[in-house]
Amino acid sequence: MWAMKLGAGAILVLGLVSLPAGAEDARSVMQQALMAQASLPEQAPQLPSQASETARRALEARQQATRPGPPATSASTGKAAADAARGDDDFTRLTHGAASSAAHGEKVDSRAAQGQLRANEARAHAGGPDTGKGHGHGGNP
Amino acid sequence: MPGWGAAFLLALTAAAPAHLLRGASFFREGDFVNALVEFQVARMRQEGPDATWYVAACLTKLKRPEDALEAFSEARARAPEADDALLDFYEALASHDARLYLHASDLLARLGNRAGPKLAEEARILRRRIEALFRAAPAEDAVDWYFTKAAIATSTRHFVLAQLYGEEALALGRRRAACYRCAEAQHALEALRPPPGPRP
Repeated sequence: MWAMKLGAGAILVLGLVSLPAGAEDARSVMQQALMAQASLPEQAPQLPSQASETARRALEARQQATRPGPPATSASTGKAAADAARGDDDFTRLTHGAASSAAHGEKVDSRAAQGQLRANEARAHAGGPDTGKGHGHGGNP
Repeated sequence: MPGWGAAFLLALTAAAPAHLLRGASFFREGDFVNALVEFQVARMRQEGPDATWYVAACLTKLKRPEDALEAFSEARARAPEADDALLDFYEALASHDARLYLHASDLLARLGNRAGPKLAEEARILRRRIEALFRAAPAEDAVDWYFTKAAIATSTRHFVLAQLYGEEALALGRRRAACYRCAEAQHALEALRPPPGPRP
């Protein structure tokens, strides 16, 4: 009986010891990976220009307007361009700033979550890598 | 009793950071999409404080700089102890890709002695490139662009980005003789700051 208790205790201790060790392994592998994949940007830094951005958005809006489709699309694109053009005024009208981050505290089903995330990422990257124009903010030509 | 021990061992094995390890392996191979998925699962399963930092690094490599910067901000809030020079370098890369050049330069300057020789050299090269960009005062037009980005980020409730673009606009405005739109930027940034005191 005492041998069985001893065995169970040993298993428990081994398991507990392996947890931080596993995290340490992941950190070590990741440190090497981060170092190996660290590379300087290919593109030289270049300051953006509001004028060219506004012109680009206006051109996009015009192109959208000439395409066949429901009139609401061109109208909304035109509105987006107009909104973007006067965006600086919106910024000065800010009144509050609650940080937007939701904590993921709950345990999740690994496979289900993985499947969902993989599908999301596949969709996000279907048209090639994002060019830094996230959140529909648009970029600079 | 052996059944109990086996069950406990199984439970512990399930809790081991398998997704972190797999993500790190994908990252090393340059498969950043799969690495991102693994790290996102690791974050949800709370496999370790590093997961959010690694999500941010993946987003940087996937050229999603704004998403990366939001993830870096979240990581810093969740697990500041897991930060290191390499991760700061990745954050600087994401800032550079988002055209937040002064923010990137600040991050690179802060690496200091924490970076190894290779990383320090890369940081030096990147900082030199950014310094070259600011030999002349930035055009008003450029400052306006950052205001617009901040406004769009605010309207879409991406407050981290709004703050970063607002700070960049202010720093660029200060580089012009008359401190172009500085008061406006300061006012907006103050409005973005959460009120002091405990949060509900």
